Amino acid sequence: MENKIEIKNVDKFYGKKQALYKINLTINQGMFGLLGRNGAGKTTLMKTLATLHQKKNGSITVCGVPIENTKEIRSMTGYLPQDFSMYPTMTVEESLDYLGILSGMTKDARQKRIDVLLKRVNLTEHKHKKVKALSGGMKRRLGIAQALLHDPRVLIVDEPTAGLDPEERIRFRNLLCEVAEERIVILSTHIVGDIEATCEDIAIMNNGRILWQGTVSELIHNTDNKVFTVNVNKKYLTQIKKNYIVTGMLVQSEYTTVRIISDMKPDIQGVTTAEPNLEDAYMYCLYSHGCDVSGGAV
Amino acid sequence: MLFFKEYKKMLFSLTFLIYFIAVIAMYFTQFHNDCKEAIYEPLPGQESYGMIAKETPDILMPAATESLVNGYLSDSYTAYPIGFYKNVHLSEKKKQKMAEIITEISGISKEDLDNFTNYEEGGFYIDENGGMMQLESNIPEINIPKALTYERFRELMRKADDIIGGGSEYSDENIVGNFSLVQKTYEDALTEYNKFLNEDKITGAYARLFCDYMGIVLAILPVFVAVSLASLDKKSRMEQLAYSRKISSVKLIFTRYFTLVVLLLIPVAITALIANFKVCGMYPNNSADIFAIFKYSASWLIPNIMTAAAVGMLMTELTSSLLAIFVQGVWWFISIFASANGLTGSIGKFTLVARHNSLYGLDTFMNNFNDFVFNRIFYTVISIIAIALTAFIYEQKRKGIFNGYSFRFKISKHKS
Amino acid sequence: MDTRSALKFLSINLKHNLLPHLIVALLIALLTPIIFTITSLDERLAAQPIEMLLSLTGTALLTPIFLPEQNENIRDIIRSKRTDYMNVCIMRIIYSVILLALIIGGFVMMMSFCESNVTFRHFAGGFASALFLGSMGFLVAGISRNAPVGYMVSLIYYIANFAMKDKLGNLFLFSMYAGSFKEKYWLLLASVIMLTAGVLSCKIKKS
Repeated sequence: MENKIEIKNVDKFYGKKQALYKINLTINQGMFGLLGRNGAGKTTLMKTLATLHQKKNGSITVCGVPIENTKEIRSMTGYLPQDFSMYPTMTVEESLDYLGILSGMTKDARQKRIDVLLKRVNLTEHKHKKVKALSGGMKRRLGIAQALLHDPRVLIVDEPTAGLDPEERIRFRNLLCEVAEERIVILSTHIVGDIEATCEDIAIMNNGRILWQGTVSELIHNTDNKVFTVNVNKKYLTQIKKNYIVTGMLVQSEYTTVRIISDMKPDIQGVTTAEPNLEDAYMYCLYSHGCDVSGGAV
Repeated sequence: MLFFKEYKKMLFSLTFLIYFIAVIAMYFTQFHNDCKEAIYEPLPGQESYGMIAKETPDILMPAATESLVNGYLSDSYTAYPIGFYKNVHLSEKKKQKMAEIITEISGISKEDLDNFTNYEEGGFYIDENGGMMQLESNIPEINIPKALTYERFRELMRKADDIIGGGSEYSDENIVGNFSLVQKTYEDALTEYNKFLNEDKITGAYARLFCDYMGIVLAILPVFVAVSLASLDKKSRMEQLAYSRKISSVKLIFTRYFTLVVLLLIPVAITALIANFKVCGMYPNNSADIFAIFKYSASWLIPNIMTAAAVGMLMTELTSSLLAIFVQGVWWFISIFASANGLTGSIGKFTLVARHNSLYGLDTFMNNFNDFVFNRIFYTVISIIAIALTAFIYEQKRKGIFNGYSFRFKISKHKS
Repeated sequence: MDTRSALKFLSINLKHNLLPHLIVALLIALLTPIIFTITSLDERLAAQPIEMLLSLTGTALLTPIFLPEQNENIRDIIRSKRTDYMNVCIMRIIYSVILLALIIGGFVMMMSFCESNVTFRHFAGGFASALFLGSMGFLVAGISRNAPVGYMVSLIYYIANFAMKDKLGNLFLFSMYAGSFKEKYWLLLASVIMLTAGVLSCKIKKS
């Protein structure tokens, strides 16, 4: 069986409102990042992959299994939603045990696997704590543990780092990277930094459509010679913001260093070309697809 | 401004819609249905003017005796020892004592009583109005001994009441009303009618009946609306946001409560209006008090709504659970059953659901009027205290000092 | 799901999801003999406590079947697992119905012990009324996704039985007290329909 997810011409509606338009994506083993603003349709796509939503038309196969075969898909998919919650009075261990039962695992299998995972996510000493007493980071780690419990071939993680402090965020990313060595991990985020640190393959979504798909370096490459920095007097800032995409600003005492993206070299005194980063590339991608990116970083 | 925001939020909630329909349905199936015929001025020479309770030994003694014999034969006595309906059955020892009393008042020996195998209990049938009616039962012939004085009879009845455990039909308080009903005279009927016309101004009598019926549902249903409102914040994940807004807790909670009560009054106002038209239409030639139904509703029904809504808000804020429904449900249930023994003028100092299921009985009502006033003010004040407490708890939660007592049946937050 | 896992599933659900509602049901059962007499009743009178109060145990036990997953985030997690959420609900219904039968059966046996003239009919009739109220609460809570609404509708129907009496026809809850048993078959049938519809509602609803 091949280790990939193929999404072909998928549409999804909420009532009359269309949420996904002709989505075409191929996702291979390893980390895959889905980047987009809030409301771009990332969660909808991920829920569809987790069989929580039904698509309108098109086809999705996960490792060769059509998505309509929910039972089989669910047994090889682990899902961690944006806001992970569990019955508040259950303990960490009970939660995992209960979800293991629902995944059809035997008692021995559950016991072994729960021990391993609790260690891996550093929750062993908190296993008797109730879910409602967990901190945000701990809860998220319980979330990843439950998603990995039945050793799925596909892991779907929706906005995993939102609301985590920087330290927790880095730890969580590393954990995901480790996990991705053996399986397909799909990660959605609106934070460019998460993708930069973890993913090779990415797709950018906006308004229910895939704008771009490829590798991180390809995306950055697109922006070569289109990123500039310039030191300007504060009074010109408004005008610059109006004419260019501004991705960074560093206010100093006499002048402000502005990072801008432009197809052509701007006609401003003292402009220098800069090395593009993923954030620049992402903004440029949105801009070149006609999205309104004025008003600074998204 | 806040008022209208809250108002909109509640008005379009499912619980409010159901509440609205239920209140309107209660009105039409009960009160409206009862208002079929107008009360007419009694004319001299009528065959009957209805019954009135008047202590008359010649009527009371045979009626009470028959009832007691019936009770003995079916071994079932109705009593309200602590306000609750109780169907009492006697032990052998007590049966023996009861038989002695019956022998003394009816002349039937214990042997005859026990050998009366032919006894068939009346059974019930359902009349055309849906009421459950008792069939006539077949009991031995009763001959009250001539030597038995009325005083002795009452003494024996007190004994019988003791045997049953108190609160029975034979107690001093109940016996006259239960067994000594006499035909009203023309004068009695006329006095009553004049009171109806001049003191109650017609609508007053109907207002009590209206409030009696509506009070039943208004003492329970508001709790559901209040609970789902209080959990609405959580559901739409507004809690964190609402906590950090600048508005004071007192202002927010009281505005919300005030809005809720006003909203819950809408179907009451509508039905009161319909009732007013209906009743006035029944008496086109008399001048009725067009405000009576509204006055009664305001004083009688608003405290019910306030109490149920306050319990809903307080308990939900305190426990974040559905406990309020259970608490109010039990309170309501007990209150309803506690007043089941007297549906007219059943208004104690602390009964939640005041009952007066009659167009008559202005005197009974006025006898209890002080209790009624105390009762309604009491519930109004209690509700406001409960809401002040809710605001206090809300404030503690806002500060992060208190997170609510944990009960397991949580209302969970819900993505909108 | 193997037997050991099924038992564990039961015990976890009992402890975390069912317990408070079971306590409420038991409190209702305890309240019944306080409000009504249960000793030495004849056949018809014995139906009164069972139909007029004990039947609310159905509302207490069956309405909250969906409640643990009323939180959408929890529901997503549960639904993403291999076991169909519908089956989770069916299992919960089965054990709640068994508990309901035990409570009513136990109560009827206690009445029999108290020398009331109770028969299997009292159990079956009381169970049918309780199941009907419970199924109604369950269905409404499921469709509206709002447990308070489920309780509300179930309780309104219960109150309507006092107000409308046998105008409710075949769905009259207190029919045994009024001397008729045929309504119970209808109540049972309606319960099965409502339970099925409630279970299916978690399939049909788009989330």
